[in-house]
Amino acid sequence: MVTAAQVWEALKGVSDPEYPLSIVDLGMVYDVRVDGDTVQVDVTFTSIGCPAIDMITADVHSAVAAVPGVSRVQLEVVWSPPWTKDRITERGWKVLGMYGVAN
Amino acid sequence: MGQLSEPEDGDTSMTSGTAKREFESTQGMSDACREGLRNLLIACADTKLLLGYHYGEWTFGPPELEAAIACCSLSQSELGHVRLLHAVLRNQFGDETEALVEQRLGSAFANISYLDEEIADWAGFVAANYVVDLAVTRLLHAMRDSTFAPLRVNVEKMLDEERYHVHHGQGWFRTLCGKNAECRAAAQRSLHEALQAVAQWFGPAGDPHDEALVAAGVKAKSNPEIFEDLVGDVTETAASLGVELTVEPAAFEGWDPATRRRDASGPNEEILQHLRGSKNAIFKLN
Repeated sequence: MVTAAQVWEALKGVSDPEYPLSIVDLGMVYDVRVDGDTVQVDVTFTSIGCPAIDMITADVHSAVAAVPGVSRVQLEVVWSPPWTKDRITERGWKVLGMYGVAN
Repeated sequence: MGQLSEPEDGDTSMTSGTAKREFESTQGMSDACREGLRNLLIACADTKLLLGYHYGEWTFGPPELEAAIACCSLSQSELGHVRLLHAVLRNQFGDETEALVEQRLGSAFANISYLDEEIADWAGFVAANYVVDLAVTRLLHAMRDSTFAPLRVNVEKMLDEERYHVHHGQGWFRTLCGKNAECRAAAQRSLHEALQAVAQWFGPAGDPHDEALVAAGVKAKSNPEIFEDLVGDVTETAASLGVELTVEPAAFEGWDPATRRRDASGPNEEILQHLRGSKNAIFKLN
């Protein structure tokens, strides 16, 4: 039985190539829903013109599909509510701080 | 009110009158509404596509390095918005991006005509960045609370990103107007030319498509109202800098709602080939 917690954990392994952070710590994952062996993930991006959208969505697919028991991954790109830096987690800010990015 | 302020909320609220029907898709819309919406989305996407091209071109040649870097970023976000608008057109109207970008004649494009040719100088660029870009943004703003959900859920993010575009365009307009008489005259001339093209693009009062969109709550304001607001804001800013701007009434005889023009003009072929990447078609990934 797949759980949402397993999926969130797997998503922590997916990074935005422009930041040294997972998309979870960047606050880009809006929702995870599990229905049997099907997982639906809602993700957003920091900008609409992000050139890494295809790369990140492919990584999300791979990471979630690798969770034991998952046979189908549905990924939806959403823009509402718009992403802001307020969505970055506390851990995320700590990591960014280590790289010299100020809050 | 400056251009950086939000238009009055009361003007754009969809809830001031009787509640309007929500549209999860184009099903249930009148033919005029559906056709008007498709035309408008294509017109916004075409203008953003051309803006993306010109911004990209001006990554080289601006008077300051910072401006060059800004142009690169402006281009990236406009092209992202094109991708988003094309997705709405594909999902709701069955329009394929390939057909919208690669397979249309220049004369079928519905962009603001100011972008048809290469932009001659920096003052011309600033006019495009300031008022041509702002025209599309104001139109999208009028759909912020749209009854058409597939667009509404995407508009806020686009508006968020567009705030920086108007900051840049208006900032440079102020800079040029404050520099010297020659720069001020060039900025004034270009802004006037851009506003005339924007007037043509917004179209005539009483356009049946536009009226259907407002009646259905897809848009909060008619296009002439949006244009009037925009002109009011831009002329106010210009006046504060000692620049007088006049906008002559546009002629609309023979105006085509599909191209938002009166004639069969369009982006020049060289620009279209360049933005399509026609010479590099064999290298496309899919």
